[in-house]
Amino acid sequence: MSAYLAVLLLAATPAVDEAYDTARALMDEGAYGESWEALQTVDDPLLRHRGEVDLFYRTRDFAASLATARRGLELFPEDLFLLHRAVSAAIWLRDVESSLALSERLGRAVQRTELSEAERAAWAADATDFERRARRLEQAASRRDTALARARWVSLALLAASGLGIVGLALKK
Amino acid sequence: MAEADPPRASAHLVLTLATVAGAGTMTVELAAVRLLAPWFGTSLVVWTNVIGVILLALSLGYLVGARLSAGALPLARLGGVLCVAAAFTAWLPFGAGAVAELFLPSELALDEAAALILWGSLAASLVLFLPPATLLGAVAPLAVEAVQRVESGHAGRAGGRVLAASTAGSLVGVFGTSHWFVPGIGLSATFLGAACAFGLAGLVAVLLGRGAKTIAAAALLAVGGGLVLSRATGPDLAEGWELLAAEESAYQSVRVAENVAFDPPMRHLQVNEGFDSFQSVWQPEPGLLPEGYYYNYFALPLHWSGGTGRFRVQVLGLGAGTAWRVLEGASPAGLTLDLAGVELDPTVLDLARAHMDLVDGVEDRRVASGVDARVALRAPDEPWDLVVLDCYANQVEIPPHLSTREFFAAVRERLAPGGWLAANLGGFGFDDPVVSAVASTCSAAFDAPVLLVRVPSSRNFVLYARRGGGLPLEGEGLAAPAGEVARRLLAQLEVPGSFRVVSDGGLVLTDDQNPIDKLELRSLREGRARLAGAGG
Repeated sequence: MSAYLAVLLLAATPAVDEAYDTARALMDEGAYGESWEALQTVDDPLLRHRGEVDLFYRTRDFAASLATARRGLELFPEDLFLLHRAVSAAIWLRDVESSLALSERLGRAVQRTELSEAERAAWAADATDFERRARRLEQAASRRDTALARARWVSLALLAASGLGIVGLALKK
Repeated sequence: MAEADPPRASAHLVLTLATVAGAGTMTVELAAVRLLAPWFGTSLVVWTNVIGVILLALSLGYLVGARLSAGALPLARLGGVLCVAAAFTAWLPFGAGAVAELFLPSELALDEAAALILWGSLAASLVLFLPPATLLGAVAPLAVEAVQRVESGHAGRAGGRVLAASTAGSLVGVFGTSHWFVPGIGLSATFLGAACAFGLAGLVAVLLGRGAKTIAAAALLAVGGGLVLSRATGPDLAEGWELLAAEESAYQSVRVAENVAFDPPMRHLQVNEGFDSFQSVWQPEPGLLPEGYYYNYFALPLHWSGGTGRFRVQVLGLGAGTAWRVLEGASPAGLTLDLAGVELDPTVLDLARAHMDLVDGVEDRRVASGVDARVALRAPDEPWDLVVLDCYANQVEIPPHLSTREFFAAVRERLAPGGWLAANLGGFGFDDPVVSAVASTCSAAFDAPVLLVRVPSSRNFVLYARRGGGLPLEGEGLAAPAGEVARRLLAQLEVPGSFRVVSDGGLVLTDDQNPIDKLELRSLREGRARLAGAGG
């Protein structure tokens, strides 16, 4: 079972909160406005955060999804669903620091959460995949930084050499 | 006393050589930006860097030439300098890609490359253009010395005549490059042509000046090699994309690429640098594009209007006609579209007709080609029900004259009562400097609040303004007309933070004062941080 499916199942697992179930059903139908309204009546803060994070994710507002996930993780620091969505949003936003930090945090949380072997394997696989993609972003950022440093040094060196050449030739009799 | 050149080297010959050098220098300078454009674009920053490097090189070259002119054979040295400049120039097309990629790695998003556009284009310009431009700068002092020795006249007279000849050549280079060489024979041939002109002029000077023929021969051999091998290439296409066509226009490099892995297949028209952006999109059937393409949201005013009958649309920045195709397939029943478009670059339209199903020149489908959008607004026409503004240049720049209060006021005047403006804006959040400034400016021009809508899965926003009739708001949300198209577009905007109403009160851009260039740089620099901190 893939972790993506595990996330969906986790999100879809009927909770004791009827409002949450209603919100999820509306989300699945694409009635996002009504889903949002239903989520505002959810009492359980974890379910409410999960719902809002997923709703922003599905409506492709990844910045809002990440921000909402971060607020939820302050209260529930090892919630796998919040971490999963947060990493995914951070990677879409190409936020290197957040991607790396959250993917590592997801990996640690997977090890510490009570799960069946199959579930743990699925979550761990996703965490590994996220970390790989975050590393790719990091490598791209590193290549960019290297190229920028190279461009700056080459520019300054050639400008300085040209300037010295101009001054030298101008002063030479 | 300096030895005079042989009498057969007349002043007129030297002045002719100066004219050729002047023409070639301007050709190289103008075409230089186009050579770097596939990687760095043609923004003001890139132009400034290229022109600045050329000026620096000329300054250095003048002093080098002054030193060389003190020698015994200025004409021969002039020839040698021209031959070596020819060798450098011939290999510029070949070297541009390799040098650019040193300073601009692949797989970067547009905003990630912002700092590299400034420093990378400066470094690439210095590496590529400093040597040949320095050599070309040495031509004038050597030519002045050669003329003075031949005529034994005053330095001022010789200098004035050389400068006049060189500048006359520069005029030929300026107009010829823009109007004929680049659009007619392409970038590589333009540089090679300039190299041949330098080489020929240099050879004549070397032979007549009894100069070192070895240097000239080696340099001309390099030119010969360049004629065979030196060709400009652009960045590789992203994986999965195949090139269908590529052209050089007077304005930009244009290419059409296709990805058949998508279902349905997709084509992109790209101009200059591509990064992760495109200028136009095509899919086999008209109608809504997949999620993430802002063009879809140009269709909303058709549904919000709620009318039937003829609906007149003007698209400023038509490109390859993506907006037309979306509107054609996504308009509500009962509306008959009368579509007009304005596109500055005729080459884009040619490629669109050939590869992206653009059909124009028929009733209710008209394109004004080769015309600026603001100029086109002044043309007499019936009022528009919708004006679409999609005039980004170089992926990130709104042309300054299309972002001012005066421009938006002119758009408003061309709208029918209740008519709409829908404008594409790129940015990182509602508080992005460009997005907020353009929205405030538009609001000031329309003397009414405007609506900014987030385009899901993208960095884009669509700005809506209306000439009377009010914004499409219902309660705390957007008005939701019936129909599958409206439902599909509006569903993802039903959550908080999907739209914002903007009133006049922010920065207003005017024709006289418009810092849009600075706002764009700030937007790119701060973009990622703004997104990461978005949502509170």
